[in-house]
Amino acid sequence: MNPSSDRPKHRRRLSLESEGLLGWLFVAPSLIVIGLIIAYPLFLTVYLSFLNINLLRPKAPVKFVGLDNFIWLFTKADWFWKAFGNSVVLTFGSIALLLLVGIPVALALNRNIPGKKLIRSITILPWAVPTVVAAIMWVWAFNAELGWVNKMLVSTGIFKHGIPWLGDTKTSMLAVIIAHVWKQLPFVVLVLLAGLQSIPTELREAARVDGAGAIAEFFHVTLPGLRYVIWVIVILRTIWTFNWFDYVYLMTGGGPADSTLTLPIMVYKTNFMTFRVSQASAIAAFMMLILIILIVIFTHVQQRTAFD
Amino acid sequence: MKRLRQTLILGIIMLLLAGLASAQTITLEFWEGPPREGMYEALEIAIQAFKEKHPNVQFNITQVPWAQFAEKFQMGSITGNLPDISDAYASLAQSLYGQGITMPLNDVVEDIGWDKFSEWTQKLMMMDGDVIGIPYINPPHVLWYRKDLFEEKGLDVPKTWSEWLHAAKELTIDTDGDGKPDIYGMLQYLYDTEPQAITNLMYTSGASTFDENGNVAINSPAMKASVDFLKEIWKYSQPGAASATQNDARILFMAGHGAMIATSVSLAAVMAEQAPELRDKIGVAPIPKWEEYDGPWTGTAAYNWWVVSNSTEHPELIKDFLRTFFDPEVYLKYSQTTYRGWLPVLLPTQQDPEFFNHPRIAPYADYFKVALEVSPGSVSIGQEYGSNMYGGLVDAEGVYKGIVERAVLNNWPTERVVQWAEDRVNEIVESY
Repeated sequence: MNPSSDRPKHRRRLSLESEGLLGWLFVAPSLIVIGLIIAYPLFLTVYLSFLNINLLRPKAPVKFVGLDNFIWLFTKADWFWKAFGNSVVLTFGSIALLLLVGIPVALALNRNIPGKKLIRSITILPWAVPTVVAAIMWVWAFNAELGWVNKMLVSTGIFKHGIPWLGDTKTSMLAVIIAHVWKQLPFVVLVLLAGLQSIPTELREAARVDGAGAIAEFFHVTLPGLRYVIWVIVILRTIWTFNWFDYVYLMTGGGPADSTLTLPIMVYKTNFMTFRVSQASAIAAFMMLILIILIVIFTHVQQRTAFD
Repeated sequence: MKRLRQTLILGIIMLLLAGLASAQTITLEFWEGPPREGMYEALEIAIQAFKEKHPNVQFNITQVPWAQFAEKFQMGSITGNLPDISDAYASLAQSLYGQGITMPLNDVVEDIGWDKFSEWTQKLMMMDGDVIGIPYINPPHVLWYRKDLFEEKGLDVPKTWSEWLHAAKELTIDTDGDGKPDIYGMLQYLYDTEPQAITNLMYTSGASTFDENGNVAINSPAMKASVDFLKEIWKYSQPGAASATQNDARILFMAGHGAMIATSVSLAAVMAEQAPELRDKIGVAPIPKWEEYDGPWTGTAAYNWWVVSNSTEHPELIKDFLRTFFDPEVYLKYSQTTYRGWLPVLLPTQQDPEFFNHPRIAPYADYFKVALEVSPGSVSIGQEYGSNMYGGLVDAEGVYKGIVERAVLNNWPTERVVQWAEDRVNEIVESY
C-alpha cells in the first residue's frame, strides 16, 4: 500500500466537499429568505386548510378536520363554482384579448414609425397608474350616465343609450376584462417587443425573397419566433390574473349578483370579513393546486411543441 | 475643588432626572380612520384636553382605511401589534370583543353616565352584560331630496312608502325627450358592503333579522313588504345602481341626476366642501315609513365606536382618555369641529343650542335636526335589538346584498327571496 498514491484523491475529495459546502454557504441566505417568505406561508396555508380555525370562536379547540373544509367548499359553498368559473373566464378571457391586442401593437411599435419612442413611452403609461386610481377611473368610464365609454358609443351611433356596464350581470365581466387588458397591455407589449427584436432579420428577408407576403411572413416567421415569448406571457399572466384581487374588488366588489366574484375575492371575504381562517386557507390551497396543474400542463405542452 | 464636586453632583442629578422624565413618557398607539374634513382637528381637541391632565402621554396616530380595519386587527392579534385604542364600526366592535381582542368598558360608561346615551345606543354597546366599546358619533341615514323638483311637480315630501313611490315615479324625468330619463326618482347603490337599499326599508317597516331573544326572524310580513317595495322603487333608479357605491350615487345626486337618495346625513360635509351652492335646493327628511309600521322615525345607523385593546399596558390611561373625550365641554367642541354630519351621541350635546349655533354647523342645522330625530331610532345593520355577534356576520356574508340582487336583478318572487334569506341566516348562525 502506497500512502502517497492516496493523498491526491483524498485532497481532491476534500476540495470538492469544501466547494460544495462553500456553494451551500453562498446560497444559504437566499434559501433562508425564500424559505421564510415563500415556503413557510405556503405550507402554513395548506396546514391551516386542514384545521378548524375560526377567529370568532377563539375558545373552540383547534383540531384536525381532514378534508372537511374542502368538502364544504365543493358541496356547501353555493358561490364556489360560480367564483371558480368567473376566475377561469377572467384569466383566459383577458389573456386572449391581451394577445389579440398586444401582438398588433407590438408589431406596430417594432416598425420604424415617426415618434416611435414617444408612442412606446405612452404605451407604458397604464402600467404606471396605481391600481386604485385605474380602478376608479374605469368605474367612472363605464358609468351609464357620465362615463366616456357610453358617451363615445352613443355619439358614434353604436348605442342609442348608455348601458350600465358594471351594473349589468351580462356586461360586468367584459368590462372588468377590458379594464384589465388596458392595465396589463404594457407588460405584454414590452415582452412581445423584446421577442420581436430577437427574431433574426435574415429570416424575414429570406421569407420575402421566397415571395412571402406580409401575412405569410407573420404566420411562418414572426409567430413561430414569438412562440416562447407567448408561452411566458400565458404562464405568467395565468398565475397573476388567477390570483388577481384588488382591481376586480375595487371595480365591482364581486357583483352585481356575483357576476364578477372570483376566488381571490372569496379568500379575502372568508378570511377578513367572516374570519373563517381555515376555510379561507382551503380556497387558497385549491387555487394553488389549480395553478400548479395549469403550469404543469402548459410546460408539458410547451416542451412538446418545442420538440416537434 | 469643592465647587467642582458640587457642580458634578448637580449635573449627574439633573441627567438622572432628565433620563427619568424621558423614561416616563408614555406613547399610546391610536388607530383612526382616514382623514375627513375636521376629523383630526376635532380629535386633537380631546387629546389636548387629556394632555393637560397627563402631560407625559403622547399619542401615535395611525390612519387606517376603513376597509382594512378588520384585516389589520386580525394581523395585529397574531403579531402582537395592536393599538391601545382604536376607532371601529358596529360589526367590528362586536367581532373584536367576541375574539377577546378588546376589553369591556362598563366602568367608563358608568362614569360618563348611562342616562347620557339614548336607550338604543345603550343596547347597542352591550353584549352579554359587557360594554364592548363606546359609540361616539352617528350619521344616520335620511332621505335627501331636491326641493326644486318637488316644488315644480307640486309634490309634498313623502312620509309613507306609497307617497315615496309616487314621488319617485313622478320625478323620473326625461328632460331632453330622447326616451331615456335624465333625472331618476330614487338613486340607489349596492356595492359590496353597502346594502342600505334593503336595510333602510327593513327598519322603516319594522322588519328585523333577529327578534328580541336572538332568534332568526327575517321571514316576516314586514320583510316581505320591504322586498315588494324595493322591487317597485328600484324601477325608478339609475341604470347600473346594482354596482354603484354610495359615493357614486351621491355624486349623481349632486350632479343633478337624481331627485332623491337615502344616504347618511354626512352628505352635508361633502356638499359643504364641493357644492355649497346646492344648499338651498336640497332638503332632508326622515326616510318614509311603511303604512303599517307605527314605530319611530328610523333608518340605517352608521355609528363610529371607540374600542380598547385587551393587550394595552395602560388601560387606566386609555379609560381616562375616554372620560375626557366624553366630558360635556370637550365633547361639545369635538362635535362642533368634526366631520359635518357625524352627529353627537350624547343626549345633552344633541339638545345643546351651542352645538347648532356653531358657525360650521348653523348652515346645515336644519339637516342635522332632522337626523337627530332619526338617530335615537336608527339601527346598525343586523342589530335591530342591540348588539349581537351574528348581525355583522350576516352582512359580511352578503345576505342583505343578496336579497337585493335576487329581488331586483334575478327577479325572484318575494317569498323565495325571503325564504333564501332565512335559510342563509340560519346557516350562518349554525356555522358559528
